[in-house]
Amino acid sequence: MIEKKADVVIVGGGIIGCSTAYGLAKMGIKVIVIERDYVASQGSGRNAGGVRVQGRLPAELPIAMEAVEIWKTLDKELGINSEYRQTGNVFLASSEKEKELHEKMAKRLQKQGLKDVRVLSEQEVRKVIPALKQGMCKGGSYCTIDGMANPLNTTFGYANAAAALGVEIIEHTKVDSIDLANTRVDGVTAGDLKVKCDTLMVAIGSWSNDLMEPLGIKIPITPCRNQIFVTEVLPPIVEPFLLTPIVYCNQTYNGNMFVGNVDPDDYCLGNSANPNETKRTARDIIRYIPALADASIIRAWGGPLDLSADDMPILGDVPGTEGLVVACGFSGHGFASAPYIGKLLSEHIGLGKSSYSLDAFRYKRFQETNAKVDENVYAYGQAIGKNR
Amino acid sequence: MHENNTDNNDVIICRCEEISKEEIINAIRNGADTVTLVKKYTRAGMGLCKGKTCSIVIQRLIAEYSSKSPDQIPFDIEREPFRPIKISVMGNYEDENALVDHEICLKRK
Amino acid sequence: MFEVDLLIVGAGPAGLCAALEAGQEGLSVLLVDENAKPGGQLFKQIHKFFGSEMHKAGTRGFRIGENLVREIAECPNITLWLNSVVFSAIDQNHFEVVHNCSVQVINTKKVIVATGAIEKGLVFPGWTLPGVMGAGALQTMININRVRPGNKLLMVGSGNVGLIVSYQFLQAGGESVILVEAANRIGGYGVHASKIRRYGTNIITGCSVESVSGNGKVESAILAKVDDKFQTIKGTQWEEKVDIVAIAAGLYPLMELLRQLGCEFTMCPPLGGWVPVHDERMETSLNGIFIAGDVSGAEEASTAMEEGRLAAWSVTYDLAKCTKNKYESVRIDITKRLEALRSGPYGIARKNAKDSIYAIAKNFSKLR
Repeated sequence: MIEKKADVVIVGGGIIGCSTAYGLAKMGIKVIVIERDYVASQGSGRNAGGVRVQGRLPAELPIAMEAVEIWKTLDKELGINSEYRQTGNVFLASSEKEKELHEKMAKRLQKQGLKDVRVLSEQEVRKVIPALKQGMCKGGSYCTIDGMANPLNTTFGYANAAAALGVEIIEHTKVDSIDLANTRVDGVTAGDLKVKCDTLMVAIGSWSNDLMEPLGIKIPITPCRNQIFVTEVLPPIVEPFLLTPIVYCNQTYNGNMFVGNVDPDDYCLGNSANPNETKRTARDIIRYIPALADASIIRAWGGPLDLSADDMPILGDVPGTEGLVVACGFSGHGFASAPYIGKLLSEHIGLGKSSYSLDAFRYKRFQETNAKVDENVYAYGQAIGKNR
Repeated sequence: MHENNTDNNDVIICRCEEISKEEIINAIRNGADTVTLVKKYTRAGMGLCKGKTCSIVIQRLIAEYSSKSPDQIPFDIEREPFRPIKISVMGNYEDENALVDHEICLKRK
Repeated sequence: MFEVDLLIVGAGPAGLCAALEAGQEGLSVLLVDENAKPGGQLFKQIHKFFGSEMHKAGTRGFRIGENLVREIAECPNITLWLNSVVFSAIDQNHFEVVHNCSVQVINTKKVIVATGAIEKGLVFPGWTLPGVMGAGALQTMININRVRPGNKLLMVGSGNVGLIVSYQFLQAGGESVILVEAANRIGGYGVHASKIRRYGTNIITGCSVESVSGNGKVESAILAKVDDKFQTIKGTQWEEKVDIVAIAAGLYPLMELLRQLGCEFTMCPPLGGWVPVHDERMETSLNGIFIAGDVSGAEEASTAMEEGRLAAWSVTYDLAKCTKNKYESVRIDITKRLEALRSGPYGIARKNAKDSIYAIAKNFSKLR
């Protein structure tokens, strides 16, 4: 039996775990991160790298906007090349009705302070994306401060920066259980490793309930496969991150094109792609971007998103178990906001308060009200769900 | 067998992504002790040939610069398609000939 | 969806023989190859085969290929798809194929993977210059495409591939060959080595290529003596003017499909490195997934053909298309022939390696 001790233990070496560890380490707090596989092995290393503000739910919008400010200087801060670029994000409307919803959404976002979003006509969209085939949309909303980054570089960057500040990252180690002393967190057990801590943060996305259920905690999240295929390196074809109601694509810094889709019916925890979806997305993307027809696909993979019942993450304390903090249910919004969420969580753990209130994301909301997706607030999540 | 040990660290190992021996050795020294991690750290093997040429060399370098022996260094996880396939070809199919039951897709890890 | 009893991936010597045996026993067989022609490496092999009558000794490789292809065409149970790529294993029964520029899923009861092997690369300064290539690639250029890419060849590696391709380079009008081998003895058959020596080839053992240079293409190579740990001995370097460098550093199994399916592998240097664990019946650690030929460990065409036949009979028996007695007698015959091919000073290492793999497989079959 190996015994260790830390102020904070974080389970999960994804971007949330690593960015929170980084924030805590900056405060001089002793952190141990325990990762089942290796850093960025799941969602944090498998997503398309979209850094999107438009289409966020009201409570999430300020976080996404503040995250963009951090993204702008992140490379300098971490000493990495995250490949972050503000390429813009275009979300196509496939019907006049959808366009009306986009307009309503843009008004809501603008009212909340996001000045950089506007709804474009089809002609205007095709000025932003000349490769888009005519007649494929009725317009779309366009947010110019949105962009993309390299998920692997960014997550490794956070992990390395945290390690440089003294965070111990233990990989290839699966936490078996949370140890309690009465109703307080005492530490975790991972095989023959026991780590004692004052605060425990669980940031393991779709696997959260595996650790939480033995404590009688059940977080309403369901896994769902986000899948991507990537092409060979291509000349510039599509500059912004392009969202259509049935498929998305974005061209990376290196020139590879990511083509992907999230299927809420594909409740799979695997890392492979759904072969039916690979073919369907291939067929669909060239209807939108015919110039991609001759591009060669190199690789297809999947990664699970943790969709929460109301499409919003669960962040903060878990009442009834002192010292336990949870961060999950990101519903596909985690990567973009992670730089700020990591900061907020580290403030919450390290200072007892955060510069933006996490109250809207409290775990208790599901007990207090039957929190679920708000049909009256049009956001990206609903738009995708409706078209499936 | 014929690996010569002179430094020459600027020699290209992954031709598709133009990754040098030096970059790979640095990644291994930073903890990338699997072919998968070397790929994720450096992009070596991420290109069009999917590491068919460089994987073997990367395995040799990992054995040389980490504490692992060759029998502890497997290949990267294989993802389809095994050969580059044009998007227009991947998207050219008849449902009844090419789609499988949803259950089969869900089981696929 | 295309439904068959048996999908065979790769129409080289192993795949062709497997298809023929299984097709003749009444199984519906789909044989898929990514190339425009079947035969795999057989059609590059213009030399006469060794061994016994049963192994077509004295027949040239490409003639063996032609005969097999003719027999395949005459067998109504075998469908041959060329220019077709099996690009994904969805699970053990469903495989995605690009055929005629569209995607189809094959639903099969059993699979024989006969995807062959791929050349191992060797890295040295200048290895990316045009003119540096695999020995197999050089053989393809000379014997299939009838193009000799240069006049002065440096061949690196003295296994049979290195020796035979050197000989064929000279036959094709090449001016000279320098053959270097890092080990202190020649790796391939003496008879092949003698042949190229008669042509005036300088075979240098205990020697390796240190670098290759030239202006946009290979123009010269620096060679050096190496010690028994293959490290360069300082001060022994010299330069040779060459315009082609061929690497014959061995082959390793091409097993993307098996890796995706999650087969077990074992490290087996005499057979090329990582090889799929398989039993004497050619079945892998996964039920119904069989292998044959170089993918089960790099050897040569004669063993590949026998393994193809063996895998086909195992599948035939597992699908209850032949009696146990028939299967056992065939299996014993083929096993005897395989042992004959794996005898002698060159074969025994491969036989021992195979036996060690079968021993590992015994544990897996209990789990199955």
